[in-house]
Amino acid sequence: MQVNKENYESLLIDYLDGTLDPARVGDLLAFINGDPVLKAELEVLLTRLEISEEEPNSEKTDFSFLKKPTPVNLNDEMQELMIGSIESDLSTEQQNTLNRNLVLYPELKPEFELFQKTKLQPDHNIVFENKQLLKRKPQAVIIPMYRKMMAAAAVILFIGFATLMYYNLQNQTSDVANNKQVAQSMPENERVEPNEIEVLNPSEKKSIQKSSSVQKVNVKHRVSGNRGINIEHKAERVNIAATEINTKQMQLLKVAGMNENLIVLPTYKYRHPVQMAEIAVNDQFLKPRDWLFEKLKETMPETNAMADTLINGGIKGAGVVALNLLNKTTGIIYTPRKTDSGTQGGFSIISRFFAFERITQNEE
Amino acid sequence: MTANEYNTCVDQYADSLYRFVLKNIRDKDMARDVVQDTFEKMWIKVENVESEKAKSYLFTTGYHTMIDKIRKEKHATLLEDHHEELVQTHNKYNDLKNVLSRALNTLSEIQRSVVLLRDYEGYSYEEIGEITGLNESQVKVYIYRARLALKSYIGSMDNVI
Repeated sequence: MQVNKENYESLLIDYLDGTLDPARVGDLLAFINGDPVLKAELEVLLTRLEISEEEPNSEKTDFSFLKKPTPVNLNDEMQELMIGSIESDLSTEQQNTLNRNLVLYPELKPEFELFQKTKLQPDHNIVFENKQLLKRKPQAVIIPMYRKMMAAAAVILFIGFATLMYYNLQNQTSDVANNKQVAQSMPENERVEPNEIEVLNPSEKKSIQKSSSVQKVNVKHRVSGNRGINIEHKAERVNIAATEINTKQMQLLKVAGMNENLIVLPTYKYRHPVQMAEIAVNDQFLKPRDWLFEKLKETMPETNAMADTLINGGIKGAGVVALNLLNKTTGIIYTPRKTDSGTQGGFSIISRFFAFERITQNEE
Repeated sequence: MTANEYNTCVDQYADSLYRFVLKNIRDKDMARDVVQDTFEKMWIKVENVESEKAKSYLFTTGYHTMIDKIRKEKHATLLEDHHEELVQTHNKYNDLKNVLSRALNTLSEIQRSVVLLRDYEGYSYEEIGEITGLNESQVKVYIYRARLALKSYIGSMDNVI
């Protein structure tokens, strides 16, 4: 017969009296232990029985399973278990221990409920207002200040470089256009194609090498072809002068009633750009070669055979002087020329649009 | 992390970070400052912060930003606490949320922070340790002590709840 709520009381009385069949004791205790209320009742009955009975029960039974946990460390242990429970830190075994104790000791239940109340809940009414203030535009990217400075420097450098290249290109275009125009009207013997350009003869090179480093650069540029004027000599006033001279010359020629096609673009007789406004109709314009002759006369008044100077290398080094003079002159480009016998001799002036003494002429 | 992901973080975490900071320092303006500073710091490093770690980054940065502010304002905060205690003795409590809020204020800074991170955000001990610079055992101890303190506080007020 199974133990149930209907018959357990009579069986319990027999058990307490010591008359219950030992074979049924196990079933009865298992049933009582399965119900916390019955278990507590049994505990109370046993306690009372122990107090009321002066003499120990002759039939000893093991009631150790009914013992309570040691109450000495109950508070610390239980608090740890309770906190562990609300933190979900407990193992299954620990959680069962807590549950069993909560049943056995109902006075612990309010304590556990207090611990459960310590679990904080966020207040969703608290919000950060104007979250838009925190947001950023997708294309905006924070760039460290040093990167900004580097970028700014790069832009400035680029603009400077581009401007430089632009002016250089413009001047080259101007040079080429002028050279082409002059070359077409130049006497056949003065025209030189780029592939005809050769290195100066040794004596000329030697004299040039004695010049300043700036002059060396000049020679290199001039000999290497119709590449325009060395950039370091392209002072702004030179460019302005070139434009003014060329414009003014054409106007003056027209005013004078001269056929501009008959005259190679003359080189203005050495005059400072700021004086250009003073040019009179009757002022003399020179071909570059004539300009050079005049300059040589000024430099070497004792030399008479100027034509010979250019053809044969000159008397008393007039050719070298002429080359040095050209090297110091912005706007004139020359090329060495071969004689009929194939040897190096003299040079041809292939630049033409104007002669203007180099701004570094006082380097000597 | 892209700018769009960053903006999503604002939507997702600005409120919770603000709540966390506000509960700690109890000053709305200062809490707003901390949140703004924190998001500003994240924006500066937006390219280096992975979106899946953004929340952790925000709370870590926010926590340390807040601690810095608290230290700067420590004197003022202590005065406020004292004032608040005086007011408390004259108030009656009938709401657990209010009582808990008061109880929270009695905790130490670190206890308050760890328990808020635990309860508000559900962080593990390990995650809280990463945010606050503590190890797991320390976090656990602080949380246990905080629970005991909170329970003790609300227990003493239990008869009026």
